[in-house]
Amino acid sequence: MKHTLPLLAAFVALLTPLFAEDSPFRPEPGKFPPLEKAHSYQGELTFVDHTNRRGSIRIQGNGRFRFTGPSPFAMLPYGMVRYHDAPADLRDIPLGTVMHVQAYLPPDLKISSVPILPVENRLKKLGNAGIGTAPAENHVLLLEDEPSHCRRHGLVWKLQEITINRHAGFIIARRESKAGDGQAHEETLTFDAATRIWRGRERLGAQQPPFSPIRSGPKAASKPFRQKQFPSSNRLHSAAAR
Amino acid sequence: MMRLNLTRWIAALHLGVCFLVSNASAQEKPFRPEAGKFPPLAQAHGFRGELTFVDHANRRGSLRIQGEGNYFRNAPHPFAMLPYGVIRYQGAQAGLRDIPIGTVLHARGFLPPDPKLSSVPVLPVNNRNKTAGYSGKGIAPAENHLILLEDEPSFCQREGKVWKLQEVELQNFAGKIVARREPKIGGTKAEEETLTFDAATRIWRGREKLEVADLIADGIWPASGKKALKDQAVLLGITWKPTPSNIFTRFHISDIWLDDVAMQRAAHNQTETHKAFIRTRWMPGWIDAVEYGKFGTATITATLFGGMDESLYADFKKGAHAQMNAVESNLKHTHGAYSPAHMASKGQILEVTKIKGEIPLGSSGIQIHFKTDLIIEGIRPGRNIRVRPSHWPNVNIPREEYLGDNNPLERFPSPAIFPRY
Repeated sequence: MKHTLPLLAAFVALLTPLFAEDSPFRPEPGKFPPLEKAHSYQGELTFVDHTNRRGSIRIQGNGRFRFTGPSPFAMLPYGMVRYHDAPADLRDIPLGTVMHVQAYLPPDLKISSVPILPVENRLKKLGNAGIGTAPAENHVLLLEDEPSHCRRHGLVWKLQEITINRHAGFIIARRESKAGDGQAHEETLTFDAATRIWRGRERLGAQQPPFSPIRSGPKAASKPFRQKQFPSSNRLHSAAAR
Repeated sequence: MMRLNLTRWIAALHLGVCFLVSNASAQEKPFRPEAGKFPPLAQAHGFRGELTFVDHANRRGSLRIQGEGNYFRNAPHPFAMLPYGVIRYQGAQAGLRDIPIGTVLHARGFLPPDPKLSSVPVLPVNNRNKTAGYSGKGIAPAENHLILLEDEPSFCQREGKVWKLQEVELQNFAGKIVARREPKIGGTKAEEETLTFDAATRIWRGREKLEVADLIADGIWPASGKKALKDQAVLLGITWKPTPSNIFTRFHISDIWLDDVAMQRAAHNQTETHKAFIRTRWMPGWIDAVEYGKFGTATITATLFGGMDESLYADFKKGAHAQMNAVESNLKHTHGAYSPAHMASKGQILEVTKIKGEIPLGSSGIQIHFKTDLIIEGIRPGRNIRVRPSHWPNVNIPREEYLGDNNPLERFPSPAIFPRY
């Protein structure tokens, strides 16, 4: 009996952290949850119910993006929306914008305004959409568009190459720190005649030369910007036609 | 003989009464669009309001409609686009997804063609005449199936109107503009309206996007106080914001286009957005006739829906190869898991003809005659289709834009998603 109690206490002490680790983190009332406990993902805004601060996002998983059904989310009461690197509301964000998300499990399952999913849902494979397209972490602390995300992390897109045909084409670029530190892989993105290009107070289209890159730092300047053009791309719209 | 005459009189009287009653009931029968016929715009009910909700995948949403009463009290009113309904934004064709929430839109609507299949709540026919408390009359018309939905600059350009600015009053980069919406040239003077603007109002001049602060810095507007603007002709984008000082209905300026070039550039950008959209979702239309051949072959006559950029119609050429898919009244493809092209009827465009006479809104006036070696279910007279010339990109569309699992709720979206206030 003399040894039983300390043994029991030690056993309980060993088990407690295990249970604590098993218990999934949920935001508590009156406490702002730490950002590092949030689950991160990105996806396309496909639906908005701005009056109830909720919507749906087609989340990028490890499968085929277009098979992914929109995944509902709700903003936490203190959740922040950022658009064009400024505070915003869901109503300000055009449908189709790709957003970066930091989210938690529902704080209170009974009053969630979006569907509640199994805690491990982010690890489930959903057909061709793959893993990660419907996380249970659908209560959002931070929802931000690409430029807001880049500015917060000190990142820019460094354009490597452009391929244009009839005012549309591809850009190969890397999203990396302004100074060029760290590893970033090249991504291929499309653009077309509807892509808006901003220079100072001007709003341009792909028709307006030059298609100039964002210059940032000596390293970027040392990497020349490659531009490919098919002969047909020389056909420009006249100002009157625009 | 007397009895025979009396019988004749009674019969004649009965016939007369029947004729009068049937005539009266024909007049009372409300107009509804019919399958296979573009309804006349003149029969549509017109209203305007702020876009408050969008379900773009099902081509429906809600508007806060301007009635006779206090605007802020008006609950959002659900609407659905007719399959051939035209949407215009910034002077160009658009999809619902292109229009920012809060934009004030002009609508022309009809009663639901088939109330059983309506994706929005069906209301009593005379609902537009009902008074709803402080909101007043006209805020929830039963005519919620739209043939035309257009923003302010599109409306003005279609009607040949501009906003003629009379006076601006500023303080802290915000203020009021007094203006009249009237014909560009001549016409009678319209009533003056007061609209608000603020530091977030976008001002477009040529290729420049300016702010109120820029106009002040350039000495065009005063930093504070009033300035007469002497009928300066502009186009305005209009939204609504709650207004202080017990003003219940006052609209807000989101955009000012100062010149034609600025408006043309906005229209060009929206046109390009919509062209890319239609090329990937295919041109909508409906089936006029089907001539069945042997072993599943058929020759199909289809009318392409209107409101698209001319360059899209120009892609439908005699001899071109094409694909045709059945779609629902919300223009959703009925197949798509392996791209809409997977199950589509394939064939050749035998002829492209232009319909003579006046082209009704909703129609392009262009018919294609398409021969396929295997007609699929859903391609029947009166039904809607989408068609793609084979040189348009063959892409996979996102999950919410096609029917997947034979789920009736997917095919006939329920009006239940709209809250009742």
